[in-house]
Amino acid sequence: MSEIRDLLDREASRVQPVLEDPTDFFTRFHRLRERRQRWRRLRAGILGGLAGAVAVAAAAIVLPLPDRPAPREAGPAPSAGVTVTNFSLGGENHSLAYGFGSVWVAGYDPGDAYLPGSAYVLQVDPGTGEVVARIAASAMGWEQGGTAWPSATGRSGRWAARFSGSIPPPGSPR
Amino acid sequence: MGGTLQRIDPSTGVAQVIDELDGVAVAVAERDLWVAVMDHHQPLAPAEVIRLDPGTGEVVARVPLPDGFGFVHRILPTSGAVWVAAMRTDDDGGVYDPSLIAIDPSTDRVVGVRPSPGGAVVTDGESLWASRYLGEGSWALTRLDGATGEVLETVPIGAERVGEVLATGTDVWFIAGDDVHATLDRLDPSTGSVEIVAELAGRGGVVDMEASPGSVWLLHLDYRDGPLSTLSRIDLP
Repeated sequence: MSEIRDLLDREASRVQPVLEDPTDFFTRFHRLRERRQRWRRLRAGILGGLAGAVAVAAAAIVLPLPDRPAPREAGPAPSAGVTVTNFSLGGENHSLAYGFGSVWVAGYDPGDAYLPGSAYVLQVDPGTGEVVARIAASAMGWEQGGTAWPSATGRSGRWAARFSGSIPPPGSPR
Repeated sequence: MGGTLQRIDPSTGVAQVIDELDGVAVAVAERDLWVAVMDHHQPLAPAEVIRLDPGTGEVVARVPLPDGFGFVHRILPTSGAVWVAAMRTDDDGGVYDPSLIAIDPSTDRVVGVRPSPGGAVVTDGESLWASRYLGEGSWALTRLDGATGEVLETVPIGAERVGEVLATGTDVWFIAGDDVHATLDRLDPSTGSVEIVAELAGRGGVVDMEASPGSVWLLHLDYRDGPLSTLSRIDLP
C-alpha cells in the first residue's frame, strides 16, 4: 500500500495549486485530505483522494459562457410550507439511496473502517427516521454506495459496490 | 485482494456477495447493472466498465475505457448512453483531464469522449447536469444532452459555492454554501428560476442527496467533534 500512499500524496500536491477560489470543492478537498491522513494510519486505499481530485480539477474546466442571467442576487427566503426533520445516525455515513419504501444509508463505524464487520448499510424508516435494520457489509470506505433498483421480477435489491484492497471477502483469512 | 459486489435483499436484509469485483462505481440502468473497475496497482492501465445482469449477477460485457483513462469517478446511465465520469492517470500517480466517456449499451463500445464541464455531474436519466464554476465566486448548472453530451444550456445560479447536486427530472436540487452555513436550493429547469428551499445550519457538510415522493433527503457528515452523521428529511408542500 505504500505506493498508493505515495500516489495520494503526489496527487494532492498536484491538485492543490490549481485552486484559486474558496469554493466548496476546496473545503471538500481539504476534508478529504484530512480523511486520507486518518485513513493512511488505517492503511487506507486510494479512491477518496482521487475522487476529491475529480471534483477539484473538474471545477477548473472552461466551457461556453452562460446563456441565462443570474436568477438570484438578493437571496430569496426559504420556501413556505417546507419542513425539515433531522435524524441523528451513528457512525460515519457517506452514501444515501431511496427504494423499496426505505431510505438506505451506507457507512462504517468511526475508526474501525478496516475492521471486519465495521461497514454496514442502514435501513431507515422514512416516516420515523428509525433504523429498522443494520446490515453488515464486507466493505468499507466512504465510496461505499449503491442504488436501490425496483423491479417487477422481485429479484432485484439494493446494490453496493466499492473498491477494496484492505478488507477480505467474507470467510477469507484476514 | 479484491472488493466485492453485493446485493441486499430488501425484504430480508441479507447481503449476498455476487462477484469479486474491485469496483469503484456502480449504477443501475433499466435492465443493466454497471460497475467500474480499475487497477490500483497499475495507474496507467485503463479502467474497465462491466455490465452485469442485475437478476443473476452474470457478467454480460466488459467495456475497456480508452487508453489513459485509469480512474473512474461515477457511472451515469441515461436513456441515450451510459456516461462514465473518468480522468486520465499518469505514471507519476497524478490524475487529470476530467472527461465524460459515452458507452453505447447496445454495442458495449465507447462511442465518445467529452471534457467534463464541472465538479459534480449527475443525471436525471435523460440529461446530464453538472455544477460549473464560472469564476469570481459564481456558479452555474449546465445541462448536457444525455445522448451526445453536447452542452444544451448553462444556468447561473447565483450561489458562491455549490456542493452536492441531485437531478430528479422535474427539478435540480443543489447545496449552496459551505459546511457552516448552507441552503438547499432548487432550480426549475423550465424557467431557470432558483429558490432557496431550506436553510441548513450546524450539521456539517452534505455528502449525499436523494429524493423520495414529496421529500428530499440529505446526509450530513460533521467532523468538528468527530464524525457525526445526520439524516435530514425535507418535506415539500
